[in-house]
Amino acid sequence: MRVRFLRDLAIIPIVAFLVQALVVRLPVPVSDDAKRPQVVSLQAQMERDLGKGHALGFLRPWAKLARGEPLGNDQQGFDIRDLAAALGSSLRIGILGLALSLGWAYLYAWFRVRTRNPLDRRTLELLPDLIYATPPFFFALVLAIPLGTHLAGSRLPFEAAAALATALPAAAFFGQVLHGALAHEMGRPYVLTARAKGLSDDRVIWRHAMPNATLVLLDGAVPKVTLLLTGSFIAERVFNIHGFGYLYVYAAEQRQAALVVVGTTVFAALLVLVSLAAQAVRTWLDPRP
Amino acid sequence: MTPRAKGLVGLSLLLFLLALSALPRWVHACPFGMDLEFPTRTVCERALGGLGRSMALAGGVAGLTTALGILLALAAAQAKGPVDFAITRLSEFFFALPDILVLITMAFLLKTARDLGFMDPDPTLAVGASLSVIGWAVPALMFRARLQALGEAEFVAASRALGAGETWILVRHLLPRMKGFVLAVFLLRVPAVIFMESTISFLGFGLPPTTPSLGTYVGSNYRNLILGEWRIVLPVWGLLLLIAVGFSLLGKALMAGEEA
Repeated sequence: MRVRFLRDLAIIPIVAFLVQALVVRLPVPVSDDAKRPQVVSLQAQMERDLGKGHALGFLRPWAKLARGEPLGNDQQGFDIRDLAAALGSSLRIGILGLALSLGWAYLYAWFRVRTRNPLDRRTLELLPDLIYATPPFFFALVLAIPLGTHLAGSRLPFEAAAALATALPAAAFFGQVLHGALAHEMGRPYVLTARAKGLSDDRVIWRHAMPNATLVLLDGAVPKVTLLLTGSFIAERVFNIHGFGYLYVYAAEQRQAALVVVGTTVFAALLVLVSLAAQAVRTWLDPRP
Repeated sequence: MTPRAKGLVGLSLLLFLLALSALPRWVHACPFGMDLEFPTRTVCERALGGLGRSMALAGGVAGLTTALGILLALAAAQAKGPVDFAITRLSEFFFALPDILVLITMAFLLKTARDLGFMDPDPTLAVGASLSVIGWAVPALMFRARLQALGEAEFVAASRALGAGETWILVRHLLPRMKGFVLAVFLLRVPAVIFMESTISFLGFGLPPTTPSLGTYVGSNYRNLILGEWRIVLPVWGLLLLIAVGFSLLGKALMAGEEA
Protein backbone atom coordinates (compact mmCIF):
# COMPACT_ATOMS: atom_id res chain seq x y z
CA MET A 1 0.00 0.00 0.00
CA ARG A 2 2.80 2.42 0.98
CA VAL A 3 4.80 1.53 -2.17
CA ARG A 4 1.75 2.18 -4.33
CA PHE A 5 1.09 5.46 -2.52
CA LEU A 6 4.67 6.63 -3.13
CA ARG A 7 4.56 5.43 -6.76
CA ASP A 8 1.32 7.34 -7.35
CA LEU A 9 2.69 10.42 -5.64
CA ALA A 10 5.82 10.37 -7.83
CA ILE A 11 3.64 10.93 -10.91
CA ILE A 12 3.06 14.60 -9.96
CA PRO A 13 6.68 15.89 -10.25
CA ILE A 14 7.35 13.53 -13.19
CA VAL A 15 4.46 14.98 -15.22
CA ALA A 16 5.43 18.55 -14.30
CA PHE A 17 9.06 17.92 -15.24
CA LEU A 18 8.16 16.25 -18.55
CA VAL A 19 5.87 19.08 -19.67
CA GLN A 20 8.44 21.71 -18.68
CA ALA A 21 11.24 19.78 -20.40
CA LEU A 22 9.20 19.38 -23.58
CA VAL A 23 8.31 23.06 -23.67
CA VAL A 24 11.72 24.47 -22.85
CA ARG A 25 13.91 22.11 -24.83
CA LEU A 26 12.38 22.82 -28.22
CA PRO A 27 15.28 23.84 -30.48
CA VAL A 28 15.08 27.34 -31.90
CA PRO A 29 16.13 28.04 -35.51
CA VAL A 30 17.86 31.22 -36.54
CA SER A 31 17.33 31.01 -40.30
CA ASP A 32 13.86 32.62 -40.58
CA ASP A 33 14.33 36.39 -40.13
CA ALA A 34 10.60 37.14 -40.29
CA LYS A 35 9.91 34.93 -37.31
CA ARG A 36 12.94 36.03 -35.30
CA PRO A 37 11.23 38.73 -33.12
CA GLN A 38 8.36 36.36 -32.24
CA VAL A 39 10.79 33.53 -31.50
CA VAL A 40 12.99 35.74 -29.33
CA SER A 41 9.98 37.04 -27.39
CA LEU A 42 8.54 33.54 -26.84
CA GLN A 43 11.94 32.18 -25.85
CA ALA A 44 12.51 35.04 -23.39
CA GLN A 45 9.08 34.44 -21.84
CA MET A 46 9.75 30.72 -21.42
CA GLU A 47 13.20 31.35 -20.00
CA ARG A 48 11.75 33.85 -17.52
CA ASP A 49 8.87 31.54 -16.52
CA LEU A 50 10.52 28.12 -16.55
CA GLY A 51 14.29 28.68 -16.76
CA LYS A 52 16.15 27.09 -19.65
CA GLY A 53 18.44 24.26 -18.58
CA HIS A 54 17.10 24.16 -15.00
CA ALA A 55 15.92 20.66 -14.08
CA LEU A 56 13.63 22.11 -11.41
CA GLY A 57 12.31 24.87 -13.67
CA PHE A 58 8.78 23.54 -13.25
CA LEU A 59 8.89 24.85 -9.66
CA ARG A 60 9.48 28.43 -10.80
CA PRO A 61 5.83 29.23 -11.54
CA TRP A 62 4.88 27.86 -8.12
CA ALA A 63 7.52 30.00 -6.43
CA LYS A 64 6.15 32.99 -8.29
CA LEU A 65 2.63 32.20 -7.14
CA ALA A 66 3.85 31.75 -3.56
CA ARG A 67 5.36 35.26 -3.69
CA GLY A 68 1.93 36.56 -4.69
CA GLU A 69 3.01 37.40 -8.26
CA PRO A 70 0.69 36.64 -11.17
CA LEU A 71 1.38 34.19 -14.00
CA GLY A 72 0.51 35.05 -17.57
CA ASN A 73 1.33 37.95 -19.82
CA ASP A 74 1.05 41.75 -19.62
CA GLN A 75 -2.56 41.68 -20.83
CA GLN A 76 -3.91 39.16 -18.33
CA GLY A 77 -2.30 37.71 -15.22
CA PHE A 78 -3.55 35.07 -12.80
CA ASP A 79 -2.41 35.02 -9.18
CA ILE A 80 -2.91 32.25 -6.65
CA ARG A 81 -6.36 33.56 -5.67
CA ASP A 82 -7.54 33.51 -9.30
CA LEU A 83 -6.25 29.96 -9.74
CA ALA A 84 -7.88 28.82 -6.47
CA ALA A 85 -11.20 30.38 -7.53
CA ALA A 86 -10.99 28.69 -10.94
CA LEU A 87 -10.12 25.34 -9.38
CA GLY A 88 -12.95 25.74 -6.86
CA SER A 89 -15.42 26.37 -9.67
CA SER A 90 -14.26 23.27 -11.59
CA LEU A 91 -14.35 21.12 -8.47
CA ARG A 92 -17.89 22.32 -7.66
CA ILE A 93 -18.99 21.28 -11.15
CA GLY A 94 -17.08 17.99 -10.91
CA ILE A 95 -18.41 17.04 -7.48
CA LEU A 96 -21.99 17.90 -8.46
CA GLY A 97 -21.46 15.91 -11.70
CA LEU A 98 -20.11 12.98 -9.70
CA ALA A 99 -23.09 13.06 -7.34
CA LEU A 100 -25.52 13.20 -10.27
CA SER A 101 -23.82 10.37 -12.16
CA LEU A 102 -23.59 8.13 -9.09
CA GLY A 103 -27.21 8.85 -8.19
CA TRP A 104 -28.25 7.94 -11.72
CA ALA A 105 -26.08 4.79 -11.68
CA TYR A 106 -27.65 3.45 -8.46
CA LEU A 107 -31.19 4.18 -9.64
CA TYR A 108 -30.48 2.72 -13.09
CA ALA A 109 -28.96 -0.49 -11.71
CA TRP A 110 -31.74 -0.91 -9.14
CA PHE A 111 -34.57 -0.28 -11.61
CA ARG A 112 -33.03 -2.46 -14.32
CA VAL A 113 -32.68 -5.39 -11.91
CA ARG A 114 -36.17 -4.85 -10.44
CA THR A 115 -38.25 -4.28 -13.55
CA ARG A 116 -40.02 -7.16 -15.26
CA ASN A 117 -41.51 -5.04 -18.06
CA PRO A 118 -39.81 -5.99 -21.39
CA LEU A 119 -40.27 -2.46 -22.81
CA ASP A 120 -38.64 -0.87 -19.75
CA ARG A 121 -35.78 -3.35 -19.97
CA ARG A 122 -35.21 -2.66 -23.66
CA THR A 123 -35.32 1.11 -23.12
CA LEU A 124 -32.89 0.88 -20.19
CA GLU A 125 -30.57 -1.27 -22.29
CA LEU A 126 -30.60 1.23 -25.17
CA LEU A 127 -30.24 4.39 -23.08
CA PRO A 128 -26.47 4.09 -22.36
CA ASP A 129 -25.82 3.22 -26.02
CA LEU A 130 -27.64 6.39 -27.05
CA ILE A 131 -25.51 8.44 -24.63
CA TYR A 132 -22.28 6.77 -25.84
CA ALA A 133 -23.31 7.51 -29.43
CA THR A 134 -23.42 11.25 -28.72
CA PRO A 135 -20.22 13.31 -28.34
CA PRO A 136 -20.00 14.96 -24.89
CA PHE A 137 -20.05 18.51 -26.26
CA PHE A 138 -23.52 17.92 -27.72
CA PHE A 139 -25.02 17.57 -24.24
CA ALA A 140 -23.49 20.90 -23.25
CA LEU A 141 -24.77 22.52 -26.44
CA VAL A 142 -28.28 21.14 -26.02
CA LEU A 143 -28.41 22.48 -22.45
CA ALA A 144 -26.76 25.77 -23.44
CA ILE A 145 -29.37 26.67 -26.04
CA PRO A 146 -32.27 27.28 -23.57
CA LEU A 147 -29.93 28.70 -20.91
CA GLY A 148 -28.23 31.04 -23.35
CA THR A 149 -31.51 32.49 -24.50
CA HIS A 150 -33.43 32.64 -21.18
CA LEU A 151 -31.07 32.74 -18.19
CA ALA A 152 -28.16 34.96 -19.22
CA GLY A 153 -26.46 36.67 -16.28
CA SER A 154 -27.11 34.05 -13.58
CA ARG A 155 -24.16 31.78 -12.68
CA LEU A 156 -25.76 28.94 -10.73
CA PRO A 157 -27.94 27.46 -13.51
CA PHE A 158 -24.89 27.45 -15.79
CA GLU A 159 -22.77 25.55 -13.25
CA ALA A 160 -25.61 23.07 -12.67
CA ALA A 161 -26.05 22.62 -16.44
CA ALA A 162 -22.27 22.17 -16.85
CA ALA A 163 -22.34 19.51 -14.11
CA LEU A 164 -25.24 17.74 -15.83
CA ALA A 165 -23.55 17.85 -19.25
CA THR A 166 -20.31 16.51 -17.75
CA ALA A 167 -22.15 13.86 -15.74
CA LEU A 168 -24.14 12.21 -18.55
CA PRO A 169 -21.38 10.10 -20.21
CA ALA A 170 -20.01 9.07 -16.81
CA ALA A 171 -23.53 8.25 -15.57
CA ALA A 172 -24.09 5.89 -18.52
CA PHE A 173 -20.78 4.13 -17.81
CA PHE A 174 -21.30 3.89 -14.02
CA GLY A 175 -24.86 2.65 -14.56
CA GLN A 176 -23.77 -0.14 -16.88
CA VAL A 177 -20.88 -1.23 -14.67
CA LEU A 178 -23.04 -1.19 -11.53
CA HIS A 179 -25.90 -3.04 -13.23
CA GLY A 180 -23.52 -5.75 -14.47
CA ALA A 181 -22.08 -6.20 -10.99
CA LEU A 182 -25.51 -6.10 -9.32
CA ALA A 183 -26.96 -8.66 -11.74
CA HIS A 184 -24.02 -10.94 -10.92
CA GLU A 185 -24.51 -10.46 -7.17
CA MET A 186 -28.25 -11.20 -7.44
CA GLY A 187 -27.47 -14.71 -8.66
CA ARG A 188 -25.19 -15.57 -5.73
CA PRO A 189 -26.17 -17.93 -2.88
CA TYR A 190 -26.32 -15.29 -0.13
CA VAL A 191 -29.02 -13.46 -2.07
CA LEU A 192 -31.07 -16.66 -2.39
CA THR A 193 -30.61 -17.25 1.35
CA ALA A 194 -31.76 -13.71 2.17
CA ARG A 195 -34.81 -14.12 -0.08
CA ALA A 196 -35.57 -17.53 1.47
CA LYS A 197 -35.59 -15.87 4.88
CA GLY A 198 -38.37 -13.60 3.66
CA LEU A 199 -36.58 -10.33 2.90
CA SER A 200 -38.17 -8.11 0.26
CA ASP A 201 -36.45 -7.60 -3.10
CA ASP A 202 -35.58 -4.00 -2.28
CA ARG A 203 -34.15 -4.93 1.12
CA VAL A 204 -32.02 -7.66 -0.49
CA ILE A 205 -30.76 -5.26 -3.16
CA TRP A 206 -29.98 -2.22 -1.00
CA ARG A 207 -28.85 -4.01 2.19
CA HIS A 208 -26.90 -6.95 0.72
CA ALA A 209 -26.21 -6.94 -3.03
CA MET A 210 -25.62 -3.24 -3.76
CA PRO A 211 -22.71 -2.75 -1.28
CA ASN A 212 -20.90 -5.70 -2.89
CA ALA A 213 -21.61 -4.42 -6.41
CA THR A 214 -20.25 -1.01 -5.37
CA LEU A 215 -16.77 -2.55 -5.01
CA VAL A 216 -16.74 -3.35 -8.75
CA LEU A 217 -17.88 0.21 -9.49
CA LEU A 218 -14.95 1.57 -7.46
CA ASP A 219 -12.44 -0.59 -9.36
CA GLY A 220 -13.65 0.47 -12.79
CA ALA A 221 -14.60 4.06 -12.17
CA VAL A 222 -11.39 5.84 -11.15
CA PRO A 223 -10.48 7.13 -14.65
CA LYS A 224 -14.05 8.34 -15.17
CA VAL A 225 -14.10 10.09 -11.78
CA THR A 226 -10.88 11.89 -12.72
CA LEU A 227 -12.46 12.89 -16.00
CA LEU A 228 -15.45 14.30 -14.14
CA LEU A 229 -13.33 16.26 -11.69
CA THR A 230 -10.81 17.55 -14.19
CA GLY A 231 -12.47 17.32 -17.54
CA SER A 232 -15.17 19.91 -17.55
CA PHE A 233 -13.23 21.70 -20.35
CA ILE A 234 -16.06 21.48 -22.83
CA ALA A 235 -18.86 22.48 -20.49
CA GLU A 236 -16.85 25.38 -19.07
CA ARG A 237 -16.12 26.55 -22.59
CA VAL A 238 -19.72 26.25 -23.78
CA PHE A 239 -21.22 27.87 -20.65
CA ASN A 240 -18.42 30.47 -20.40
CA ILE A 241 -17.60 29.44 -16.82
CA HIS A 242 -14.12 30.62 -15.82
CA GLY A 243 -13.07 27.37 -14.15
CA PHE A 244 -9.75 25.57 -14.27
CA GLY A 245 -10.56 23.85 -17.57
CA TYR A 246 -11.38 27.21 -19.15
CA LEU A 247 -8.11 28.61 -17.77
CA TYR A 248 -6.14 25.67 -19.14
CA VAL A 249 -7.66 26.06 -22.60
CA TYR A 250 -6.87 29.80 -22.46
CA ALA A 251 -3.27 29.10 -21.39
CA ALA A 252 -2.75 26.61 -24.23
CA GLU A 253 -4.31 29.00 -26.78
CA GLN A 254 -2.17 31.94 -25.61
CA ARG A 255 1.07 29.83 -25.30
CA GLN A 256 1.33 30.59 -21.55
CA ALA A 257 3.92 27.91 -20.72
CA ALA A 258 3.98 28.61 -16.97
CA LEU A 259 0.19 28.32 -16.71
CA VAL A 260 0.24 25.09 -18.76
CA VAL A 261 2.87 23.58 -16.43
CA VAL A 262 0.91 24.65 -13.31
CA GLY A 263 -2.35 23.38 -14.80
CA THR A 264 -0.87 20.02 -15.81
CA THR A 265 0.66 19.59 -12.34
CA VAL A 266 -2.68 20.35 -10.67
CA PHE A 267 -4.48 17.86 -12.93
CA ALA A 268 -1.82 15.20 -12.21
CA ALA A 269 -2.25 15.88 -8.48
CA LEU A 270 -6.04 15.52 -8.80
CA LEU A 271 -5.56 12.25 -10.71
CA VAL A 272 -3.42 10.91 -7.87
CA LEU A 273 -5.74 12.20 -5.13
CA VAL A 274 -8.79 10.61 -6.76
CA SER A 275 -6.93 7.32 -7.19
CA LEU A 276 -5.80 7.35 -3.55
CA ALA A 277 -9.30 8.30 -2.33
CA ALA A 278 -10.79 5.42 -4.34
CA GLN A 279 -8.24 3.01 -2.83
CA ALA A 280 -9.06 4.30 0.68
CA VAL A 281 -12.83 3.93 0.14
CA ARG A 282 -12.30 0.45 -1.27
CA THR A 283 -10.20 -0.59 1.72
CA TRP A 284 -12.84 0.86 4.06
CA LEU A 285 -15.68 -0.98 2.31
CA ASP A 286 -13.78 -4.25 1.88
CA PRO A 287 -10.94 -4.59 4.41
CA ARG A 288 -9.94 -8.06 3.12
CA PRO A 289 -6.28 -7.97 1.93
CA MET B 1 -31.01 -9.41 -32.11
CA THR B 2 -28.59 -12.18 -33.12
CA PRO B 3 -24.90 -11.32 -33.68
CA ARG B 4 -25.35 -12.03 -37.41
CA ALA B 5 -28.28 -9.59 -37.66
CA LYS B 6 -26.32 -6.99 -35.66
CA GLY B 7 -23.39 -7.40 -38.01
CA LEU B 8 -25.56 -7.00 -41.10
CA VAL B 9 -27.30 -3.89 -39.76
CA GLY B 10 -23.94 -2.40 -38.74
CA LEU B 11 -22.38 -3.15 -42.12
CA SER B 12 -25.36 -1.67 -43.98
CA LEU B 13 -25.15 1.51 -41.90
CA LEU B 14 -21.43 1.86 -42.59
CA LEU B 15 -21.88 1.31 -46.33
CA PHE B 16 -24.64 3.91 -46.29
CA LEU B 17 -22.32 6.38 -44.50
CA LEU B 18 -19.48 5.66 -46.94
CA ALA B 19 -21.83 6.34 -49.85
CA LEU B 20 -22.95 9.58 -48.19
CA SER B 21 -19.39 10.76 -47.58
CA ALA B 22 -18.47 10.04 -51.18
CA LEU B 23 -21.46 11.92 -52.60
CA PRO B 24 -21.83 15.22 -50.72
CA ARG B 25 -22.65 17.16 -53.89
CA TRP B 26 -26.13 15.73 -54.48
CA VAL B 27 -27.50 17.28 -51.32
CA HIS B 28 -28.17 20.80 -52.62
CA ALA B 29 -31.82 20.41 -51.67
CA CYS B 30 -31.27 20.11 -47.93
CA PRO B 31 -34.26 20.10 -45.53
CA PHE B 32 -32.15 21.96 -42.93
CA GLY B 33 -31.55 24.97 -45.18
CA MET B 34 -28.44 27.02 -45.83
CA ASP B 35 -25.41 27.20 -43.56
CA LEU B 36 -25.05 30.49 -41.68
CA GLU B 37 -21.25 30.67 -41.77
CA PHE B 38 -20.97 29.73 -45.47
CA PRO B 39 -24.27 30.99 -46.91
CA THR B 40 -23.57 29.59 -50.39
CA ARG B 41 -23.62 26.00 -49.08
CA THR B 42 -26.33 23.91 -47.45
CA VAL B 43 -26.12 22.45 -43.95
CA CYS B 44 -26.15 18.92 -45.43
CA GLU B 45 -23.30 19.73 -47.80
CA ARG B 46 -21.10 21.04 -45.00
CA ALA B 47 -21.94 18.19 -42.63
CA LEU B 48 -21.33 15.51 -45.27
CA GLY B 49 -18.18 17.29 -46.46
CA GLY B 50 -16.78 16.86 -42.96
CA LEU B 51 -17.92 13.26 -42.68
CA GLY B 52 -15.41 11.90 -45.22
CA ARG B 53 -12.39 13.56 -43.62
CA SER B 54 -13.48 12.60 -40.08
CA MET B 55 -13.93 8.96 -41.13
CA ALA B 56 -10.64 8.82 -43.05
CA LEU B 57 -8.74 10.35 -40.13
CA ALA B 58 -10.44 8.06 -37.61
CA GLY B 59 -9.80 4.99 -39.78
CA GLY B 60 -6.10 5.85 -40.03
CA VAL B 61 -5.70 6.55 -36.31
CA ALA B 62 -7.72 3.49 -35.29
CA GLY B 63 -5.64 1.32 -37.65
CA LEU B 64 -2.36 2.71 -36.32
CA THR B 65 -3.32 2.42 -32.65
CA THR B 66 -4.73 -1.09 -33.14
CA ALA B 67 -1.49 -2.17 -34.87
CA LEU B 68 0.58 -0.59 -32.10
CA GLY B 69 -1.62 -2.23 -29.49
CA ILE B 70 -1.26 -5.73 -30.92
CA LEU B 71 2.52 -5.31 -31.37
CA LEU B 72 2.94 -4.20 -27.75
CA ALA B 73 0.67 -6.98 -26.48
CA LEU B 74 2.65 -9.56 -28.48
CA ALA B 75 5.92 -8.13 -27.16
CA ALA B 76 4.56 -8.31 -23.60
CA ALA B 77 3.32 -11.90 -24.11
CA GLN B 78 6.60 -12.98 -25.68
CA ALA B 79 9.05 -11.29 -23.30
CA LYS B 80 7.02 -11.66 -20.08
CA GLY B 81 8.66 -10.51 -16.79
CA PRO B 82 9.85 -6.89 -16.60
CA VAL B 83 8.96 -6.07 -20.23
CA ASP B 84 5.38 -7.25 -19.71
CA PHE B 85 5.22 -5.29 -16.44
CA ALA B 86 6.58 -2.12 -18.07
CA ILE B 87 4.22 -2.30 -21.07
CA THR B 88 1.20 -2.96 -18.87
CA ARG B 89 1.97 -0.16 -16.39
CA LEU B 90 2.67 2.30 -19.22
CA SER B 91 -0.61 1.34 -20.91
CA GLU B 92 -2.50 1.73 -17.63
CA PHE B 93 -0.88 5.13 -17.05
CA PHE B 94 -1.93 6.39 -20.49
CA PHE B 95 -5.39 4.86 -20.06
CA ALA B 96 -5.88 6.78 -16.80
CA LEU B 97 -4.86 10.16 -18.28
CA PRO B 98 -7.74 12.46 -19.23
CA ASP B 99 -7.68 12.36 -23.05
CA ILE B 100 -8.73 15.95 -23.61
CA LEU B 101 -6.06 17.26 -21.24
CA VAL B 102 -3.33 15.34 -23.09
CA LEU B 103 -4.64 16.44 -26.48
CA ILE B 104 -4.74 20.11 -25.44
CA THR B 105 -1.22 19.87 -24.02
CA MET B 106 0.01 18.28 -27.26
CA ALA B 107 -1.77 20.92 -29.33
CA PHE B 108 -0.05 23.57 -27.18
CA LEU B 109 3.37 21.93 -27.76
CA LEU B 110 2.76 21.70 -31.52
CA LYS B 111 1.60 25.32 -31.71
CA THR B 112 4.66 26.43 -29.73
CA ALA B 113 6.94 24.38 -31.98
CA ARG B 114 5.27 25.98 -34.99
CA ASP B 115 5.66 29.49 -33.53
CA LEU B 116 9.33 28.82 -32.88
CA GLY B 117 9.78 27.64 -36.46
CA PHE B 118 10.98 24.24 -35.29
CA MET B 119 8.40 22.34 -37.34
CA ASP B 120 5.26 23.02 -39.34
CA PRO B 121 3.37 19.75 -39.55
CA ASP B 122 0.27 19.25 -41.66
CA PRO B 123 -2.70 19.92 -39.29
CA THR B 124 -4.46 16.65 -40.16
CA LEU B 125 -1.27 14.66 -39.57
CA ALA B 126 -0.60 16.54 -36.32
CA VAL B 127 -4.11 15.78 -35.02
CA GLY B 128 -3.75 12.15 -36.16
CA ALA B 129 -0.42 11.84 -34.32
CA SER B 130 -1.89 13.38 -31.14
CA LEU B 131 -4.91 11.05 -31.25
CA SER B 132 -2.58 8.08 -31.79
CA VAL B 133 -0.47 8.99 -28.75
CA ILE B 134 -3.50 8.73 -26.45
CA GLY B 135 -5.28 5.96 -28.38
CA TRP B 136 -2.89 2.99 -28.22
CA ALA B 137 -3.35 2.16 -24.54
CA VAL B 138 -6.90 0.75 -24.71
CA PRO B 139 -6.17 -1.72 -27.59
CA ALA B 140 -2.88 -2.74 -25.96
CA LEU B 141 -4.63 -3.57 -22.66
CA MET B 142 -7.48 -5.39 -24.43
CA PHE B 143 -5.11 -7.49 -26.58
CA ARG B 144 -2.90 -8.32 -23.61
CA ALA B 145 -5.91 -9.52 -21.62
CA ARG B 146 -7.11 -11.58 -24.60
CA LEU B 147 -3.70 -13.14 -25.18
CA GLN B 148 -3.45 -14.00 -21.48
CA ALA B 149 -6.87 -15.67 -21.58
CA LEU B 150 -5.98 -17.63 -24.74
CA GLY B 151 -2.61 -18.58 -23.25
CA GLU B 152 -4.40 -20.51 -20.51
CA ALA B 153 -6.43 -22.62 -22.99
CA GLU B 154 -5.98 -26.39 -23.20
CA PHE B 155 -4.72 -26.42 -26.78
CA VAL B 156 -1.82 -24.17 -25.71
CA ALA B 157 -0.94 -26.52 -22.85
CA ALA B 158 -1.10 -29.46 -25.29
CA SER B 159 1.15 -27.68 -27.79
CA ARG B 160 3.60 -26.83 -25.01
CA ALA B 161 3.58 -30.46 -23.85
CA LEU B 162 4.46 -31.51 -27.40
CA GLY B 163 7.57 -29.34 -27.18
CA ALA B 164 6.48 -26.17 -28.96
CA GLY B 165 8.33 -22.97 -28.04
CA GLU B 166 6.68 -19.75 -26.88
CA THR B 167 7.24 -17.96 -30.22
CA TRP B 168 5.77 -20.90 -32.16
CA ILE B 169 2.70 -20.95 -29.91
CA LEU B 170 2.30 -17.20 -30.28
CA VAL B 171 2.62 -17.15 -34.07
CA ARG B 172 0.93 -20.44 -34.98
CA HIS B 173 -1.80 -20.76 -32.35
CA LEU B 174 -2.58 -17.47 -30.64
CA LEU B 175 -2.19 -14.89 -33.41
CA PRO B 176 -4.58 -16.60 -35.89
CA ARG B 177 -7.23 -16.73 -33.15
CA MET B 178 -6.85 -12.98 -32.54
CA LYS B 179 -7.81 -11.89 -36.09
CA GLY B 180 -11.53 -11.37 -35.45
CA PHE B 181 -10.90 -9.75 -32.09
CA VAL B 182 -8.34 -7.34 -33.60
CA LEU B 183 -10.84 -6.33 -36.29
CA ALA B 184 -13.56 -5.86 -33.66
CA VAL B 185 -11.31 -3.65 -31.53
CA PHE B 186 -10.39 -1.62 -34.62
CA LEU B 187 -14.07 -1.11 -35.46
CA LEU B 188 -14.89 -0.06 -31.91
CA ARG B 189 -11.99 2.42 -31.88
CA VAL B 190 -13.15 4.27 -35.03
CA PRO B 191 -16.17 6.06 -33.47
CA ALA B 192 -14.17 6.80 -30.32
CA VAL B 193 -11.55 8.57 -32.46
CA ILE B 194 -14.22 10.46 -34.43
CA PHE B 195 -15.78 11.68 -31.18
CA MET B 196 -12.43 12.74 -29.77
CA GLU B 197 -11.46 14.52 -33.00
CA SER B 198 -14.79 16.32 -33.17
CA THR B 199 -14.49 17.33 -29.50
CA ILE B 200 -10.99 18.84 -29.78
CA SER B 201 -11.82 20.46 -33.12
CA PHE B 202 -14.89 21.95 -31.45
CA LEU B 203 -12.62 23.35 -28.70
CA GLY B 204 -10.31 24.81 -31.34
CA PHE B 205 -7.34 22.50 -30.77
CA GLY B 206 -7.95 20.04 -33.58
CA LEU B 207 -8.22 20.68 -37.28
CA PRO B 208 -8.20 24.31 -38.46
CA PRO B 209 -11.67 25.86 -38.95
CA THR B 210 -11.15 25.92 -42.73
CA THR B 211 -10.63 22.12 -42.85
CA PRO B 212 -14.00 20.34 -43.12
CA SER B 213 -14.73 17.84 -40.36
CA LEU B 214 -17.73 17.16 -38.14
CA GLY B 215 -16.07 18.90 -35.17
CA THR B 216 -14.89 22.00 -37.05
CA TYR B 217 -18.35 22.33 -38.59
CA VAL B 218 -20.09 22.40 -35.19
CA GLY B 219 -17.28 24.53 -33.72
CA SER B 220 -17.54 27.15 -36.46
CA ASN B 221 -21.32 27.33 -35.95
CA TYR B 222 -21.09 27.49 -32.16
CA ARG B 223 -22.44 31.06 -31.83
CA ASN B 224 -25.39 30.24 -34.09
CA LEU B 225 -26.19 27.16 -32.01
CA ILE B 226 -26.29 29.17 -28.80
CA LEU B 227 -28.75 31.50 -30.52
CA GLY B 228 -31.08 28.55 -31.00
CA GLU B 229 -30.28 27.39 -34.55
CA TRP B 230 -31.00 23.69 -33.81
CA ARG B 231 -31.24 22.76 -37.47
CA ILE B 232 -27.47 23.22 -37.86
CA VAL B 233 -26.59 20.59 -35.29
CA LEU B 234 -29.18 17.95 -36.23
CA PRO B 235 -27.50 16.44 -39.34
CA VAL B 236 -24.13 16.19 -37.55
CA TRP B 237 -25.72 14.56 -34.52
CA GLY B 238 -27.56 12.15 -36.82
CA LEU B 239 -24.34 11.26 -38.65
CA LEU B 240 -22.40 10.76 -35.39
CA LEU B 241 -25.22 8.59 -34.09
CA LEU B 242 -25.17 6.44 -37.24
CA ILE B 243 -21.36 6.16 -37.09
CA ALA B 244 -21.40 5.09 -33.46
CA VAL B 245 -24.28 2.62 -33.92
CA GLY B 246 -22.87 1.16 -37.18
CA PHE B 247 -19.34 0.57 -35.91
CA SER B 248 -20.56 -0.57 -32.51
CA LEU B 249 -23.00 -3.16 -33.94
CA LEU B 250 -20.41 -4.55 -36.34
CA GLY B 251 -17.70 -4.63 -33.66
CA LYS B 252 -19.99 -6.31 -31.12
CA ALA B 253 -21.12 -8.88 -33.71
CA LEU B 254 -17.50 -9.78 -34.42
CA MET B 255 -16.70 -9.96 -30.69
CA ALA B 256 -19.69 -12.25 -30.12
CA GLY B 257 -18.54 -14.43 -33.03
CA GLU B 258 -15.07 -14.68 -31.48
CA GLU B 259 -16.39 -15.63 -28.06
CA ALA B 260 -18.83 -18.23 -29.43
